[in-house]
Amino acid sequence: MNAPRVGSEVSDGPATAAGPSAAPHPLLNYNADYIVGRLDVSPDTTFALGSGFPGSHAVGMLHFQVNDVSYRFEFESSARDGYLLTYNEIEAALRGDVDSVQVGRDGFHHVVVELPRPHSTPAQKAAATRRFRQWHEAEVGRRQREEQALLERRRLLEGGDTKAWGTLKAFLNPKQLKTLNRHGFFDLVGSAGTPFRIMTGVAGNVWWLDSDGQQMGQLCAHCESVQWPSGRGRHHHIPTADHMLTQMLELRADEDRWLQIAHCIGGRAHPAQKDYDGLRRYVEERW
Amino acid sequence: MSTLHVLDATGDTTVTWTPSPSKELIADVESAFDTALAVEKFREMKAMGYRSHATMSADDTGNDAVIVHEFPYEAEAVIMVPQTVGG
Repeated sequence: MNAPRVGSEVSDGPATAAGPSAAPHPLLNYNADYIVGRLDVSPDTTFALGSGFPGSHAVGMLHFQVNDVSYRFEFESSARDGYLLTYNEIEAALRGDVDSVQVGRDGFHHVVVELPRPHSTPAQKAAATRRFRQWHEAEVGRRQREEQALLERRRLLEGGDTKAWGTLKAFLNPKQLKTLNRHGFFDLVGSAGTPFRIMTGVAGNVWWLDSDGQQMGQLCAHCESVQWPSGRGRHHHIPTADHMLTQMLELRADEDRWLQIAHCIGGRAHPAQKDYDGLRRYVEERW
Repeated sequence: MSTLHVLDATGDTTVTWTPSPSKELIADVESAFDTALAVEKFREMKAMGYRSHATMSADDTGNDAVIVHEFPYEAEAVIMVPQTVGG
């Protein structure tokens, strides 16, 4: 294949922008298995190839977009040890003949370039290896710090759960405490006189009861800050017991307001809930 | 001592203060200082949209928490809770 010279194709893009004082090029994405996403680079930005991390490959990819044409440059290296290349060194390699150019299904022009190993003498190789090791140690340290921060946060949340149970129990009367410890729920009377049962849980864990203590309808309203088990959700984690304490306090203080906020997700809605008939009609028509 | 509980990821953040019948009757410096901390936290959380419940006295029914909008100097405990949303 008579391959085009890449340097001329991208001459309006990163190639001309790459001077020592040039601003980071905004159209460049660097994509590797340990860095995914957009990364602004300068001519002195260093890329690690063949980093030696588990699961990584001696391959890097650079995405350019010039005049609505996307290019993806794949670097392949036969080096077993990791080494670093600066953006300028990569760009110099791209100015040479490339092995192939293809338009992929993703719309990218795939330009495959075999990067020459830049160390021709033992001294250069030793310097490059030293440079890589320094980078590697810093990167390993950064990852360890991130993991440590994650562990500390997990410990904080676990401690928070224990503390929250203590706070909830401090505000329960002896009868409520007994049923919570034995059966995992407690009953209370709302501000308007309706008896409620709060089960252990975050959402859909409140039932309104009839005068005989029968569970009539399952209601759902909870603190705004919820961390769903899957990791989706808003804001930050609030322990389960804190949700239950909030539900109890809000029901005691203003039962009607809480009922207006809550959704009925099982059984019968409370008569005070807004537009109960309309909601029921809607459900019956749809399903 | 009275306690302000702010429900958050740590279970609850607490600030204690010396209860007093009113703001004007806080005399000694120490109680004024810890009360000031509690008032500051109370206002900070109110600004973030938290709702505040105060318990004035303990009884067996437990139904004694009331919503307060100003810092209750005489309360035994204040629990500040995030806004409730329908699930």
